[in-house]
Order: sequence, then C-alpha cells, then structure tokens
Amino acid sequence: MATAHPPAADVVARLDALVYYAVDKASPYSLAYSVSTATLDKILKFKLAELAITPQGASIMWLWINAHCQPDAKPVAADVATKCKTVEDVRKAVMAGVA
Amino acid sequence: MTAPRMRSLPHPGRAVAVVLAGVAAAVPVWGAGLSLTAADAPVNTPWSEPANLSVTREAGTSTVTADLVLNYQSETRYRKSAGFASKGSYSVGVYLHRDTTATAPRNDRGVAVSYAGLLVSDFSNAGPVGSLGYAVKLGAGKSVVEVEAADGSRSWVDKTKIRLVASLGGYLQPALGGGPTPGVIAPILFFDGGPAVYVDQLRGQGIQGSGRVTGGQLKLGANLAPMGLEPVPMAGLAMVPTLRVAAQVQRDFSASDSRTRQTRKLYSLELNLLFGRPEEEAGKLVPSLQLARSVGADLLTGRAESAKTELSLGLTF
Repeated sequence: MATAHPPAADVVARLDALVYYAVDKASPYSLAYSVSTATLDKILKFKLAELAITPQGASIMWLWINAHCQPDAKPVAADVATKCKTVEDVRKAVMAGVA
Repeated sequence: MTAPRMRSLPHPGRAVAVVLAGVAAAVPVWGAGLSLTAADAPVNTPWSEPANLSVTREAGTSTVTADLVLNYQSETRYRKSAGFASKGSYSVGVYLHRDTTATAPRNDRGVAVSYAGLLVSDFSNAGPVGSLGYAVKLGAGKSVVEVEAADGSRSWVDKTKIRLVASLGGYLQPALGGGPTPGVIAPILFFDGGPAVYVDQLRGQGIQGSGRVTGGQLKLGANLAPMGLEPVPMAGLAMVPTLRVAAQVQRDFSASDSRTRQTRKLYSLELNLLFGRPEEEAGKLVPSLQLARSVGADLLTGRAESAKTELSLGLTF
C-alpha cells in the first residue's frame, strides 16, 4: 500500500541500507556494502540474475528484508516479491510498504 | 486488489450464480434490484490445491494416476536477532496419491501436519551465500504396501501408516570473485542437502509388512546452470539448461515385527531445459524438458529398488 506522504528521509536511508545489505547477502559477488559509502544507486539497475542471485538466494534476501524492515515498513508479500527482477524492483516493493 | 466487481440483476429472487475468478464474497442487496458484489480472489491464499490426474492406456489396460493435496499454511512469522533472521509457518493438509498400475499400485490417503522454517545467519557478505532450512512433518493415513507371505508369494494390502520426519536442509552457493557486470549472466553453482531422521510405522491387515522402522537419511546435491538462470538466446530459442547430481542414503536404526533393517541408496542425474522467457511471456505456455536417470530406493517416497530413465515434457504458464 502506497503512503499518502513521502517517507521520512531517515526511513528511506535505513530501508535503502537494508535493501543493499540484503542484496549483498544474497549475491555470491561481494558488492562492497559499507555503511559509510553505500549508496543503493550503485547496484540499483542490476537484474538479480546479473548478480547471480538464485531463487533460494532471493528467498534469503526477502527473509532478511522482511525480518528487519519493521517498524519502518511492512513485510513484502510473496506474490510481490516473486515479480521483482531488478534491485530497483526490490527497492520499490519495500518502499511501497512504508508504514 | 479488493476492488469490487458488480453484477446487477433486475428481479429480486432470481437465483443466478455469478462466478467470477475466485469469488470471495457475494452480498445480495434487496431493493430496486438484486446486486451481487464479488471481490477478486485474494492473491495470497493460505491454502494451496495442487492436483494432477493422468490416464494411461497401454496394451488394452488403462492405469490412472492421481495426486491431490489440499494444504493450509499459516501466516509466515519472522524473527530476528543480531546474528540471524528466520521465518517459519505451520501447514496442515490432506493428501491422496493413487496409482492403479498392477505391478506397483499406490493408494495413499491421509492427513499431514508440518512446521517448516528457514534460518539465515549474519556471516560476512563477502563469503558464500547460505541458509539452513528445518522441517518437522507428521503424517497419518492409509497406504497400500507390498507384503511377502511365508510361502514367498507377494500381495498388496492396506495398512495404517504413521510417519514422522524431521529434517535439515542446507544451501550453499560459493562466492564469486570480481564484481557483477551489467548484461553479463554468470554461471551458477550451488549445493543443497542435509540430514533427516524418520519414524515409519505400519499396522493392520496381518503381521506381514507391519512394524516400525526408525532411521536416518543424508542427502547431497550439486546444481549447475552453466549459462546462469536467465534465459539465454541460442539458435533462435531462449533456454536455461541446468544439471543436477544428487546422492542419498537412508540407514535404518531399528526395525520391529516383520520389518527388517535396511540401507537404501538413491543416485540421480537430471538435465533440465527450460525454453522461453517466462518473465516476458506471462500467460503463455513455456515448455520445459527434463531427462533424468535414477537408481536406487527411497522409503520416504515409497520407491522400491529400481533403475529409471525418464524423459518429461512440461508446460508452465
């Protein structure tokens, strides 16, 4: 569910960092996640397949996101998660659930 | 997702069944006319109803194979701590597996209750990708089993079956060097498998075939997608080839009554080809081809010692 107001900047920053960390956890590549330098834009356009993320890797990514996104956002439903093909799709799905 | 669809009927009392895809609610309103409203089916249903039925006619004899499972799954619960994240859910379901093949009939029906979870630890992201699944499943029902009489003759009898299986399922994808490149799909290699323990009890219809078996199982599999898991155009076709090699051993710890302790091994080699681009052709049928060779036995799937080569053509939509 989209919110009527744009989410607060600190919420966006926390969720961006969470998405980056979860994608890094699910990919066998080292995506050089760092709290100080991480900007999700670095990997936003990548397809999950280009990051060598398997279906089980995607399950790991969504588990990490859904377990840590609250209270900033609601967990992403399975049917939405399976449609995400790029990191940008993942970010949009997470942001759509901002509380 | 819940936008109502409307159907107006001019005369009250006219019973018309309006079936929309998965009607979730039908609310009649009496007044100037009868209105039926129906919401779309919920996208996330807690139940699943996979079923298949096939009839094969060979040499004047027909055989019927049916697999029906109605399953209800609870809402997934997430947990987290500084070192891990996990999720889990309960399921309860009824099942029917029927095969009328004369030489290997199957007639399993009953109920099953299970809990399954997935755990991910917070090890360094620079290393391999891994997870640990865990599941406990209790099933109770009736099964047709083959028994051997004292004179050596064999027959099929209906037994009451209770089975408890607790399993761990590991997943490991080795780390890749370098970094990802836009437009480049890397080969995929990952391993899966793990240990399990089981208790399998059969009772009723005589002593033969009755008794309890306890044991342990270890299963390991290696999976390779040499061109990644994204369909790659080749010779006018887009396809995803994958290769899987697996080995499994089951060793009974104890056996009672007429059942005997056994060690069962099962080896398999599978080559899968998925054609097309599923994500770009939603609603279209996507063919797949699987060639599998397997040798061995499996107590938990009811497979007797055998060697099989199977060629399967599938359609996904």
